[in-house]
Amino acid sequence: MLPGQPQASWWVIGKSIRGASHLRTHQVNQDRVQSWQASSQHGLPLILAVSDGHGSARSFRSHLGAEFACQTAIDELSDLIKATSLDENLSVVKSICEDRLPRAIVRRWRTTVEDHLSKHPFEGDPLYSSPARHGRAADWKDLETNPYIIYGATLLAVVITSSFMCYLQIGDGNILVVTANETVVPVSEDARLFANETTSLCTHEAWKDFRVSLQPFSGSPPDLIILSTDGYANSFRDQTSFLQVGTDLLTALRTDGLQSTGERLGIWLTEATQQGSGDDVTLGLVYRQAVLGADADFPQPYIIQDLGAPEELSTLLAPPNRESNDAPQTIAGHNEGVEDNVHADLGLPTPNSPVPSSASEPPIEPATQG
Amino acid sequence: MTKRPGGELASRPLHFIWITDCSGSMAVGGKIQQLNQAIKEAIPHMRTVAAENPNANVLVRAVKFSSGAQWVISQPVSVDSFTWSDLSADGVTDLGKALSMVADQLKIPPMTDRALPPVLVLISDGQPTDDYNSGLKLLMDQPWGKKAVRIAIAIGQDADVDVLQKFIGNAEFAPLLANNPETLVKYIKWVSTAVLKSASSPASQAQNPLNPGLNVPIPEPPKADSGAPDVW
Repeated sequence: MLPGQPQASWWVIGKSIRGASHLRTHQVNQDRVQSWQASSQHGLPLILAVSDGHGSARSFRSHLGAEFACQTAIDELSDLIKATSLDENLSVVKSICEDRLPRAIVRRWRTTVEDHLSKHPFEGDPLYSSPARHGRAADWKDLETNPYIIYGATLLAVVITSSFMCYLQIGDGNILVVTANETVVPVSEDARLFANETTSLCTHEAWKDFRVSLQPFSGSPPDLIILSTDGYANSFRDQTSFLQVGTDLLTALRTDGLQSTGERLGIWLTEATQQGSGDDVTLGLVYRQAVLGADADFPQPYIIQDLGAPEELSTLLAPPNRESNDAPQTIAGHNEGVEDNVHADLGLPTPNSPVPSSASEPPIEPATQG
Repeated sequence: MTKRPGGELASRPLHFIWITDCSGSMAVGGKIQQLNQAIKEAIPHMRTVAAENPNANVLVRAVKFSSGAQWVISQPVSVDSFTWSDLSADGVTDLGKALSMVADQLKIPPMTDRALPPVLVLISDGQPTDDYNSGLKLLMDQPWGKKAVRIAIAIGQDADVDVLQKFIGNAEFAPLLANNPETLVKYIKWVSTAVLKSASSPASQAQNPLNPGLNVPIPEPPKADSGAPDVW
């Protein structure tokens, strides 16, 4: 907290909707959203990650790849928080975020994929020889040399501590940073993200394709940070119509509050995919409230993922093996026995109230400044 | 209560462009009549595929080339309103001119970067008579030209398949050879349905600089009609 500033509270809201086209073709949601917040008092540090599995016929396990991507980001970024102290020179942190972090994320994601592949070889997967496997044999040849394609996914993440904010992205999707007056894109553009093609965790030397932005936590932190998969932006007529989401959502949060806004996200995203792209649509929000107000009882974080009906879910939705037990447990609700802060809507009746946050490890004390 | 965040929602446009050879040789052996008929027969199937995916707004256009080139359908028209007026054959084969006109329409703007990859279907029975390389370069200089699904159908054995292969730009996918009306009908229907369906999917593909033609998986084309004799 900066000297002289009132205590702010930080809220995480997430919603993932199965795309209209995936509903028609009985495909599961390929997107994932996951968060981690050290403090139960709505404080810092916090991490939010969003991933979009490619969903193409060749990437027939990309819903798992997206899940692994979010968990990997949470694991690596929480390690970063533990490893960096408040008095750390920001240029050192910048170097870590830009150089080491992408490599570490790619390495850990690939290890998770390899572990899953060793238990579930893709050659025996019915999806490998399903009717979806149309097209030329040549298109499938490179799966033998690069099986990571099967799990191909993007990753967007933000970590906020009391000394810095780090945004990182590989592949399509959008990160928006919103203040009362403007909406900005914190990471650089990538002209290669065009015509359905995306950079991905699954490609050769993927760490080189990360776009990273580190910003000091200075006097005017953002009011709202938005992470979304490309199905959302592609649902708007143009970029201006999409960017308007930033200030509109901030207005909604301030006017109607967290509870109301959080509950309506599903309606808004469903409308977007139905009238827009047809793709899965996922939105992750970090909202900074200057003073802890009437929303103190709102569950923290509030994340709901519509993954698909149970019978449509792959039997391969097994959680990855974790290297360490102290990793934050925020993976989707289909992981039996894992106490999490994500509610997965498996097509069953939706509970009236969201699942409250619960950490499975002692919380890290939020860092303080000054 | 606050309104839905963001501006106007819209399905993604998918531009489908027929690039048809109307040179004099297309009049030989009834090729132009068969092409007219094949496209007309494919329209209902095309509409069915489009209706199955309301998130892709399929917009059709056509350009013909002979002595010069000309838009037959100049403005993108919804597949539901798309009709085909019979083309006639006369003149030479100015393919380059047609490609340059398509290139002009694939610029951003008028195209949007949120569109689905366009589908370009080139149908020809002969050899270009103009500088087709310049037209092809203009097309491939456009991001949407480079990333378009480019299908080529050669009608008869006099078609220059090397030129058509250059248009496709991917050695793994050869021009389709239609040496009789039955095969031509098959290919026109395939491109109007299977290819259109694949192009209208929102699935992403991992970028692969070594195999850049993968942004839309091309379905396996039908086999040529072996029961029908070659007449072209």
